[in-house]
Amino acid sequence: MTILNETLQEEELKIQTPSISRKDEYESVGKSVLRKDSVPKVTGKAIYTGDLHMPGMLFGKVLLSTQAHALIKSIDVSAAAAVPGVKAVLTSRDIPGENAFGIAIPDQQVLAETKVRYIGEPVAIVAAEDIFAAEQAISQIQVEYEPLPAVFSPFDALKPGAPAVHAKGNILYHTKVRKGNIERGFDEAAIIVENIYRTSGQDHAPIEPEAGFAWIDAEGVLNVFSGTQYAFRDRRQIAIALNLPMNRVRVANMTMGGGFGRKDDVTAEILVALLAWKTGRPVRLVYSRHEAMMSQTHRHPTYTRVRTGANKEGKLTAMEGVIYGDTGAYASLGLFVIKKMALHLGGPYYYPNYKSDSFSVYTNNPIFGAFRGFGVLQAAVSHEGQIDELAEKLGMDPIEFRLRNCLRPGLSFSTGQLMTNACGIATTLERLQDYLVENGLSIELHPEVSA
Amino acid sequence: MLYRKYEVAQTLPEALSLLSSHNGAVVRPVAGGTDLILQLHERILSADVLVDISRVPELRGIRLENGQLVIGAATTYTEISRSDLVLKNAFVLAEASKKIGAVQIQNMATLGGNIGNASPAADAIPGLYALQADVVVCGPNAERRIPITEFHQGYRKIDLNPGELIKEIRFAIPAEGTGTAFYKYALRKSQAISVVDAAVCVQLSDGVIKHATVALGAVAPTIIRSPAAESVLIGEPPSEDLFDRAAEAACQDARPIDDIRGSAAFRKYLVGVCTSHAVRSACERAA
Amino acid sequence: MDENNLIKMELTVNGEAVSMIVKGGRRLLDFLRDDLHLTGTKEGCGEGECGSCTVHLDGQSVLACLTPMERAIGCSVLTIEGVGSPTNLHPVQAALLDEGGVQCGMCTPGMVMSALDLLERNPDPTIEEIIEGISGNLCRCTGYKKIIYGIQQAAQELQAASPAGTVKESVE
Repeated sequence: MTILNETLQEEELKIQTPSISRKDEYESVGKSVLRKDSVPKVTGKAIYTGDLHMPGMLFGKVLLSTQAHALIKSIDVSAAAAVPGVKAVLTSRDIPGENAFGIAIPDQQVLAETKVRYIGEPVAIVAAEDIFAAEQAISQIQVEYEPLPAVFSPFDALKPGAPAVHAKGNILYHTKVRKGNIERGFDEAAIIVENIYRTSGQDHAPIEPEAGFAWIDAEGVLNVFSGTQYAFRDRRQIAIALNLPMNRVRVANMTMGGGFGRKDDVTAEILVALLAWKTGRPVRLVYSRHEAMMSQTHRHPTYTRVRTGANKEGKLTAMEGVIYGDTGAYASLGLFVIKKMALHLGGPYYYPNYKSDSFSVYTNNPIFGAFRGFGVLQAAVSHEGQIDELAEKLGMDPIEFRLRNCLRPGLSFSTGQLMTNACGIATTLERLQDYLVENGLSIELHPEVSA
Repeated sequence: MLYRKYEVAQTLPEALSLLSSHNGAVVRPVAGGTDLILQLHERILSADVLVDISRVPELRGIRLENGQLVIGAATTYTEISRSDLVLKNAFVLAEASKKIGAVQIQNMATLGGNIGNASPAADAIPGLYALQADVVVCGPNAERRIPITEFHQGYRKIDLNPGELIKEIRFAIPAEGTGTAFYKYALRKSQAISVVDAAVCVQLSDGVIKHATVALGAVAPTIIRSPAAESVLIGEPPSEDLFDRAAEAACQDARPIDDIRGSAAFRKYLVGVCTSHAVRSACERAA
Repeated sequence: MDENNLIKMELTVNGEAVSMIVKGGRRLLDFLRDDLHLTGTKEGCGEGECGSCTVHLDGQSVLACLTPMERAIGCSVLTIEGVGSPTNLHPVQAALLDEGGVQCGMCTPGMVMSALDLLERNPDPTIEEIIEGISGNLCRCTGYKKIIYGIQQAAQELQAASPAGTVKESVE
């Protein structure tokens, strides 16, 4: 699989990075420019989705699953529909098009049909004249669940006979990366360190919880406004769920109060579109913080075992790792996040021999998806831990050890991709070294907090 | 709607009569609202009528009365933390008030609300335990004065009858040579509920601790005193070794649980940390 | 008891007298956003953690999500809309722009209101005092530093403009 040959390493330093142009040649690069939208924001005039208002507007609300894994035996909406002011109570039966969406793989239900897979999965939606009627209606919906055994870690999900979160099995994706000869790489190592690293899940907690606003204009076009990272992908998925041609759906991006990856997925868009389409009225659906935390995506928890070897000269010879990423109940971008983690498990260092496997695994936890760093920072926890421990065992300065091994033009990445430029790790480390010297500082491997 | 009717009381008798004048309805007093409005919004509690007691003069303000400091139940933390009377006589309360929520919460929340909400992690209450304060409650017919240790009967359980209000807090001005301190460990500096906290009063006389009270928060169903730590301290001159022994003794009295903010074992450890910090500060202030 | 719970909200908002009959039993935040359409005051958490709904009630910063609306009757409320306009920014707003302290903007109105409250009490705050002053406001984008520097810059400008240290808000 590798495109790297043995002679290439010797050629490594002959390729020069292009010289950096002077800053003042650019209009904005290197200069402090005012954000276009910052004046409206600092005066409170910027309009976010939840600020939208229209005459005749209804308030939307979502009923979330209370079960991690259960069959839905029945949903009784009669009491909810009878609440004064309620204009629509919708379940999966009311979806005109396909009850399926997903940013990468359409494995997610708009509203749960026969089975829920996590606590927080949307089961029913309501539109009412005011938010209190909508809340009351939600509390009146009767859902009869038949609980199923559930799995809450990738290890439980991979056990033989484990409850299947999806019919196709609990492995969403297995990524393999192979480069060089891993056995020979470890044979050449004078020292090998092996560790297990675990990272936890994390909520993006954008200060603006997810929200959507939908209305039908005079030409019959369904307009959906939301703070989204990808209006066109939302539009396509709304059209499919509502069985509308694409030209009957318009998605406009409102000012977004923080996304950090989570608003790449469809959030409130299809649900609010359904409510507007069914009622013919403008509808605003704003998640509470609690609802957003329950139902939206998060950062993947990961479990990694990694072995790294280096020779006496302080050169890395091999790295081998296995990653289990908990992707939760649905795919979201869990295939790509955990795939990327396998590619980046070695970090910005050169390994002649590299082997990694990552498994993105379905569980009955909330959905884990894109979040700033996209799998790379979970990898950083392990490669930096490995590098520090190797430097310590070799008795080398941790910066010096990194400089000996960092990627430079002419060296290849874990996938075999040849670095030509855009790998500034060496320059960064050298400047850090200069800074430490200038300021009389030194790096300790396990620094204690001190004055 | 969170409630159906909002009534503003101008005097204490009016507040008491509004509280008992709605037959069959759920009537709740509201001062700062920082706990109540949240609990109504999240449907943890319900209410038909709210009676606003935040402007009742009898429930507000801080004053000296016959050697006692009196703090009205509807006094806010901002008012407490800026009060010269509190800063001079009960520094522990000012210190704790600055640790509650953040500025906005301190501007809204009241001492009486913290006492009535009766959370074992309430930041203002350990100081009141250490100051050996009494709670004065008033009903339609009479006032009662109850030591705060008895007022808090169990987990979020208080000695308050229907129709009664928490009126004020009273405690004797600590004797000459007394230092007080509050120390809180939380997951961040502001807007955080205590994982463990400790409040301490010590009185020094001729370089020896003559009197000591140690109160611990978030380690039992209510705030507790630590008799073990107090008996270690009394009769000894302050020293690092003494602070360590007091910390160890406090751990014996703590009965923490595992919860979302920390494990029981971690809390036991923190009891020592918080106690020794608070005792050290109190001794420094007493000297 | 009136089942519709209609009440008369009479108060001053951003220097202007307001008198209207609306549904009671809600939060000050709902009154400001839904009835007055002053949507600059944001709801980030609805439980008093994030500070996005910070407004001034009779000159003190409070959380509109924890304040019953009726509490504001007869009071003076200042929201972000009353602080400065795009063509006439308050020095705190101008300094936040200058320092790059505005990103997604959702926390910004609350930050400005907390900064004003701080500078009113303490016109010459240290960095630590600024941190404490905005500790009730969460920001997920900036990492806070640029906001802190912005407030520091605004304090210096306000001090220079009014050497006596008597800084007044633009409204009230």
